[in-house]
Amino acid sequence: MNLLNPWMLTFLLSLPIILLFYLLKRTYEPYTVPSTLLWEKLLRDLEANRPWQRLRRNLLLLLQLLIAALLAFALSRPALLGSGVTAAHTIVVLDLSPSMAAKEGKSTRLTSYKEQIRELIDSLGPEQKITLIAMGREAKVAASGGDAAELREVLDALPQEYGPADYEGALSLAAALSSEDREADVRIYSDGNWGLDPKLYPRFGKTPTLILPQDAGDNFAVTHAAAVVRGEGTDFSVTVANHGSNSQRLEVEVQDEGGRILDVREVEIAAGESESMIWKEFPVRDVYRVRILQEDALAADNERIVIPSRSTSSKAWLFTKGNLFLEKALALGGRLTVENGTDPETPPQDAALYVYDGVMPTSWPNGSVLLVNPPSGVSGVLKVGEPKAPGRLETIAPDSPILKHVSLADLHLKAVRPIENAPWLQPLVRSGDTPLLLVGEREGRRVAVLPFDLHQSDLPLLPAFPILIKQLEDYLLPNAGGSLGEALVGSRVGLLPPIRENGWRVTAPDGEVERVDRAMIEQGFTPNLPGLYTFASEDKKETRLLSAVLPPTESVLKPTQVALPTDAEDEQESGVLSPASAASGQRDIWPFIAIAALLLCFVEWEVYKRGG
Amino acid sequence: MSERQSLLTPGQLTRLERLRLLCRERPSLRQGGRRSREAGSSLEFAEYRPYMPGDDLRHLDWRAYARLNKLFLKTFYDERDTRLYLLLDVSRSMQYGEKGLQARRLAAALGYVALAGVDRVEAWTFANALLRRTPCLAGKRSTARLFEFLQAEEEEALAGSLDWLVPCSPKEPGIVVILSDMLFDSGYEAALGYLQQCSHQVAVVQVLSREELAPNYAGDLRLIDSESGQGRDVSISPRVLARYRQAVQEYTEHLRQHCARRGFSYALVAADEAVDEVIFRKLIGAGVIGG
Repeated sequence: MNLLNPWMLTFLLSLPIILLFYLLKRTYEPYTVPSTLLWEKLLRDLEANRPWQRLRRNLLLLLQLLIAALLAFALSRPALLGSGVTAAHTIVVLDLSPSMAAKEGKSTRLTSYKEQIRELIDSLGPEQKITLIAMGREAKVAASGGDAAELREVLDALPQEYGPADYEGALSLAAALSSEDREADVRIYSDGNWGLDPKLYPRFGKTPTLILPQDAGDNFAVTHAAAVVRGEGTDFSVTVANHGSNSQRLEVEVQDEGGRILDVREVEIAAGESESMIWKEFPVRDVYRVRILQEDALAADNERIVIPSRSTSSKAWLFTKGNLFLEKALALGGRLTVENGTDPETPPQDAALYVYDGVMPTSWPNGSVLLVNPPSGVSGVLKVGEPKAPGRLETIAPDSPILKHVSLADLHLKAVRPIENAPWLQPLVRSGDTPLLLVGEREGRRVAVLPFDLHQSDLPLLPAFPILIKQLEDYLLPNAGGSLGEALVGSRVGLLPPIRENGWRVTAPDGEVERVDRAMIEQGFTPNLPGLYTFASEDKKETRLLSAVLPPTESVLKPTQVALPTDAEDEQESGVLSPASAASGQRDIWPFIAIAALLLCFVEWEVYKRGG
Repeated sequence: MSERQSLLTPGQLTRLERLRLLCRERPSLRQGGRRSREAGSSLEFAEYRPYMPGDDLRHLDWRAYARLNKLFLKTFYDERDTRLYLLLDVSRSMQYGEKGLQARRLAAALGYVALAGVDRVEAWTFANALLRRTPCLAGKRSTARLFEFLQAEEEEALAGSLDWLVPCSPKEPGIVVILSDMLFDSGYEAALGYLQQCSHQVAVVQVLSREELAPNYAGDLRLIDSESGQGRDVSISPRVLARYRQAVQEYTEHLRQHCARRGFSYALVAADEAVDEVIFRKLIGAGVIGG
């Protein structure tokens, strides 16, 4: 029960006024009797309780007070809290992101939300329907309609996800549905930590209701962990964050793959701060496991699997008609050994990176590809147009790790060739309308394209060139060495040789074993749970490890109230749509109270006619 | 005469002639039609007693003397009349409804019974003091005077009280009939006690209106006392009315018991009751008059 106009309760002041009328203004009709002697004794009793005696058993007064109270109550517009469905169409958005795994009471936030939505479904009337939108890795309409059994089934089947959720997509989907049906109630079950720019919020047809979870309390997280093997020892670094509201002393434990404890350290972290720790000279292991020993609201982010990176070198195969800049830049850092090729159509099978400068291969090689200055024509793997004059330089994706610390403002070049019919290539930098740097994934391999002649530009002379090539290398070879490295849960991991061979199997953190099939090789592998994924060859001689980690933003559990924009603002101003009632999805009950007051008026009239 | 007939009809008068006042003990000193316990000169023999010197020789029983040679005196009961005092309350409270008329009718009836029975009658009207009184009336001739007196309007109505009886109560013992509503602020016990001390035989006829016995008021009323003029605010509810009826019952019961303890006759009469009913049932039942 909620009062939408609580200040209207001041009308309750009419109650004492009515009482006052009864006490003060009550008129006694004069009536002469022979003698009041017989009344005397009686009146002494009656007057002893004055003035309340007069009010006792006065039905008329009681009725009038009741009517006044009911009217004041009705004016204050009481509304029943919208636990039930009130609109004909209710759009329910359910957050499935990792932060929903936080404890709430004995269960998790997601379970609690599901319970609430189940109540919503149970209260579904015959003409009402619910659209259930899953706010997970993929924003989608999970179910829609008025069939409670089906909705319940779909709701129960929605899993807790551990990858980054497509908040924007889910909100846009809900907003689009809401704009179609402006009377629909939108209820968003989420903690509001979406990390979106408020300008990007979609506009809803009707103000949505955001149902926030309870504050889960303290949460600590391992936000970063890395290990590098240097000679006989491993350097280990961990960053631990305290997302709670109090300063905490935490114990951080590092184990090896056999569960042997290597070290435990205590660290004091202030609220909202994070602290880094560094260990030197750990014994070399394939896998380390770091975890926080204290219990907190979200357990999934307290542990992280660390696969140490080894300074091993891979082979880069380069076909060029003579590009010393490129050759030197690729060899920088010692990560790659560069092998010059002679025939672009017969590359070796064992290289990790294939670089084509000035030629276009007719088929994709068995690894990542860097295409520099592909010739115009339609014969190769890509269709390339005629050279165009460069235009104004524009960086499309400044946040991309490939362009980190890379400034191309001073870049000058003669011409750039447009790449046609390759929507899977994402442009990062544009010169006029023509992309200057494109990256993408094709059949499980990563591809980068620089569609201009390096010799006819000053890019190799820029200080940013080696950095750009290094970062392109990092992008093209994300998991160089004996492991697949670290990846966010839910992100796609390209499977490079030798996993492409037949008979590989992958073991998930929960022990489930899956065969690596062709679809997985082409589309990449997507870890669904945080923890260690082990890829093993058929004879189990070769293994590759993958550590799946939670998105660090999901460790923030404090609910955030978000004001979502709505198209219905002008309606609100004209008073047609009450913001309060729209915001809460509540059902006004004042008409019933007013009817009750009216009926009481009739009763009062009847009582009055009968002489009180 | 028409006003007189409005008090009692000729038929009622005829029926009343058959009745007599019931007098228990204290007759008057005058000769009358009523046997007395005192020895006297009636024809009714009482007893013999030995002669004492000085006795009236006319009452000696000479036959007994002849037989027994002793002097005996023959005594007879005396026949006296009795005196009826009709005390009629004419205070303001008696002038509401038919209370006054009923009281006058009953006074007329009782007075007529007394006059017809060779008793003397005095009628007094009072409020908080004695207002008017008739001379001592005797004989049926005086009926007209009595009725005239009873029908005369009082000049000024006043509050009622019985306190005036103490200084100026009737001197000669007789039957005192008080016709009143007996609603006196100052009470009635002292006055009634004084009347008893003065050797009067007392009868109380309490006349109450139907409205007083069982009112049917409703709403909020300021009840104004007709005598004192003081108002009382009452919110009438069924509960209050029930309480009031209980109070009336208590009051009349108290009066009845008071009369019973002192040997007074008592009758409660409603103002709208038929006169015949009252006289031939209630008053005879109360022992005021008899057949």
